[in-house]
Amino acid sequence: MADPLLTIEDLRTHYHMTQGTVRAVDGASLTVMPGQTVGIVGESGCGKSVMLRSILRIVPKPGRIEGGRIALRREDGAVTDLTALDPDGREIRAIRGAEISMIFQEPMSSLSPVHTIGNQIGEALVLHKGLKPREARAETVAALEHVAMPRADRIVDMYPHEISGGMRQRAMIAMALCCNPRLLMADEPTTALDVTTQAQILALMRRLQEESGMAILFVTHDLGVVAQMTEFVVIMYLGRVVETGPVREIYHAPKHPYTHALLHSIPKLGQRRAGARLRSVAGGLPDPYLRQAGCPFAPRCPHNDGAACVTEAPALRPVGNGCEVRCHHAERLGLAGVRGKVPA
Amino acid sequence: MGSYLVRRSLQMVVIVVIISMVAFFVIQLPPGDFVTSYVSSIAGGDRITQDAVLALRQQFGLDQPMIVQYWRWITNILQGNFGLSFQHQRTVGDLLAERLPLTLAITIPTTIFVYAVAIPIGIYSAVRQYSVGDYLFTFVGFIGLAIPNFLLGIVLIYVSTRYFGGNVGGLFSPEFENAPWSFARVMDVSRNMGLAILIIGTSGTAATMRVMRGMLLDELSQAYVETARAKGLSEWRLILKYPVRVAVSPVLSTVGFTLPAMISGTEITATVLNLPTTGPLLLNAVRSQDMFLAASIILILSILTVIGTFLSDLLLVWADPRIKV
Repeated sequence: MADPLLTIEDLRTHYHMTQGTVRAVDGASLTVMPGQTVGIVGESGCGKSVMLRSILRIVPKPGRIEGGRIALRREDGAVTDLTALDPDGREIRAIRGAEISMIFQEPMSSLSPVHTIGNQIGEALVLHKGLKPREARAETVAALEHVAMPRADRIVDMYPHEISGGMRQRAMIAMALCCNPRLLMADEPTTALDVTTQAQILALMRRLQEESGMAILFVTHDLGVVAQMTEFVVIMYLGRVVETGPVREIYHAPKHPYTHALLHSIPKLGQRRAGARLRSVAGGLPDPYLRQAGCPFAPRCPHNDGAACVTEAPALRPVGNGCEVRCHHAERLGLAGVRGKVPA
Repeated sequence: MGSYLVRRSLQMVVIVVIISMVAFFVIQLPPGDFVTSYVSSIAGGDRITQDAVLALRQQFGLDQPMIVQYWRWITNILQGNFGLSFQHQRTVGDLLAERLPLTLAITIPTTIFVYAVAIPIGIYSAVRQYSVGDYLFTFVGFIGLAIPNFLLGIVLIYVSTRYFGGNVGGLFSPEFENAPWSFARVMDVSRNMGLAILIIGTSGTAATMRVMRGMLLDELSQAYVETARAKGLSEWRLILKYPVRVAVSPVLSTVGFTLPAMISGTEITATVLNLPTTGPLLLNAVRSQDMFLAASIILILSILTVIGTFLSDLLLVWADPRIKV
């Protein structure tokens, strides 16, 4: 097996506020192989966006990486621990946008309203590839054509408000990919788009990945999108990874009660006629400033045993078929998966 | 763009005409006219006969209906004749020719000073929010806002005469007052002007600095700033290129309003500092109901306001591509 591109070990990113400390990421680990697509799934506030920002070292204040390791394998095979870099330093800036790039959720607000599309994309080319502005413009048009942007030579001189949401997200993708990164991180890239546009953008990302062989770290709360896009899934809850595994295993045989609850909160066709009700995950996210002993999911878990579950925090442990689970009772629960085809 | 310019220019002409009417009529709203205030000011001992008063009125044309007076005034102005200042017994054109260039010579550098100082400080304060420097500038800013400029002028005059034996106030030191223009005189004027600019510009600088800080703080947390950061730009470069660019345009758009404010809003400071600008001239003209002088200054101020607003709008259109013309 090849060496991993990115390895996160026991990452802890905390927000120190006057009201207390929020452990946004609290001991999360994951591995991304070269060319692999990994999905990170969880409710809002589970720390998935903060984790992506920790990787690029752009965690907004007052967030701080408190511990752990983020190992990036560089082009030459050397391994760099990103947590050890100065977040304003030259080295991490050379990685941002060049080796690891990122696309964001809101294609409108993620682009500057007062600069042209071409200016904003070309800037990365000037910065990382050392192109002259005129060369960068030609490259930018090529990058836009590459993401199937219609009339790329005209769009390049337009402002974000002059084009549609889907086109803006195409421009964002062109910007992220123009320097041929080896890892693309996507933070809910299709959440703000309507369904047909979403499908186009996802298809585009798959095609680009096949062409370039880059790895994708795909953050979403939409399990349907995960099934379409990823091979490997990481489920996060309250800053921790609670279950990881190949996408089929996660869908067909979830081991963690939280994963199970997430899967069964997706509406299915015919469900209403069959009389089955849509189940939501019971309870809400607990107070982020409090941390109780035991399993973080115990207060919302239907399988809470009242003993080990509330006294002892479970560790992430392998349970076969390439899966790892953070649950004391994973093997005994026999949770039901969802039927249906999961595209490989 | 072309049709926009034409449309706006026509609008400007209409607005200036309306303002000229309002200015002319408002000046005459207080009871009495120049003759009554003139009579009461010289009537200390001698009694002035009713006939003399009527003769004066007739001489100045004050016995005519207001609409006739306005028509005479405005048609004369269109021919370049601003009328006569009763008080100074000189033509208004003369007085303005004397004062306006000096006023602009102070106003324009003051405006530049305000923005050149306030914008960088505002940027620093926002980017380093809650740092020692930010607190310091915030403190200085509030003091600058709270102290009226004329008070600052008085304090400065006191300090410099008491401790430095220097001369503050006026644009010319006594020894250069009537001297011909020379290098030494230019140096003297620039030194005095520097002080005047500092004093007149203080509150404007403090206010602009706070506005810039607030606007930029709003922009710094926007998603496009994060995009730029994720692209690998260095922090200062991305801040200056993206959020500052967005935050600065509304700040710059206020430049149009500073133009008239600097000219009319500084009467008291200019009086205290004994500056030969239009501010004190307007103040005196209004007090003594010297109507042609007052109305002319107000007319010029309003023309400047209208032009300033127009320039601000053009600046905004240029700075923000989202604004359609």
